[in-house]
Amino acid sequence: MNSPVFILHRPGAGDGVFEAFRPKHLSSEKAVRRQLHLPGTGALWIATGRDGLRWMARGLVGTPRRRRRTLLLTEAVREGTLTLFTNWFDRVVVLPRSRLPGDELVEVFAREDRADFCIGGTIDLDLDVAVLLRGDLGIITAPLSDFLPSGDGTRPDFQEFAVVDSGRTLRFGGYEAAFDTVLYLHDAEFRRRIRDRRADGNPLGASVRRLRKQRGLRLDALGSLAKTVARIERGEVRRPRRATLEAVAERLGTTVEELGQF
Amino acid sequence: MTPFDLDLPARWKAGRWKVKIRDNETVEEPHVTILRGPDVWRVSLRDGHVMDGGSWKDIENEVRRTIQEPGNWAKLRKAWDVRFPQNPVEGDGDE
Repeated sequence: MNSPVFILHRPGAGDGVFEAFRPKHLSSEKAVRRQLHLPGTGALWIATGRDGLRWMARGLVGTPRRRRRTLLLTEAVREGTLTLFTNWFDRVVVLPRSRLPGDELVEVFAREDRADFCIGGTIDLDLDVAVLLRGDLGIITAPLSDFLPSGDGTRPDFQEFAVVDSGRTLRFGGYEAAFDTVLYLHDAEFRRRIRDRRADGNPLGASVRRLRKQRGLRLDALGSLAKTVARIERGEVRRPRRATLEAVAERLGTTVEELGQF
Repeated sequence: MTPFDLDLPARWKAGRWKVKIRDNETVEEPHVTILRGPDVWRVSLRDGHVMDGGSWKDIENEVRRTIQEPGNWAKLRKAWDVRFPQNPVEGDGDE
């Protein structure tokens, strides 16, 4: 974490979860207000407990509006308070109720690869998405349709969501999903890192095959495209025509540009 | 059916080791996932190599022996095939 980090809590009330960020501790409204008035941009502010929230809300009054980057809240706030904070911060992140326990959060925050972990999330059944918070406080959104039933018929129960295995696994009732698979599908940079570790002699073919498998499609389900896709996957067609790539990409639900990146 | 969890000796479970096959492993070749707290390794169920540049040296010997025990190895392969018939351990699944 290169930006300065400030954590707001009553004296003695900090639980140590965020110590890996080496925060400066602010334990009064006066200290918060003083820091907010200092010049400088780009910081992570962490408001814990009701005191932290109150000091932040009151400390912002009369504060010049500058880019302050991110505010992390460890509990939910009222809509009006959220509006207030989003007016002053580029990003406001609320730690979800479904999240890793404190000791596992400490472990994740201490890691350089913390972005590859899920520390919590919420399931929005109206919008059919899982909104997942990564260890670097980035957000990744996955459509619930990503979580296909297992071949044995196990289906995810989205009403029973939990993050387990230190942030490596998402649990939906009796169904478990690897967070890595979510990252692979929706984070191009993560995909690139994984691909760089592989030695694919046929990168396009291997990518098409992975994407087809992820979509749960057998070759014989592709109709007139089946033979073409099979040849691409076997590496018999290294540079397909644009029209072919467009047809394959459309059938697999992606773009031509992304077809070789899975 | 719950996700497949290989039963490890109590001592290794207490050490946060887990061996499992999850329900959405659709992107990769057939594999089993080994976890120890936040650390993770994936082992191919086709040829037993540790994927993503990892090594068996990083995995506790007893855990490795439990996974590679022929009865357990067969269970893992069968558990994968049940969950992912479109991407079986042996063959393409499309033939």
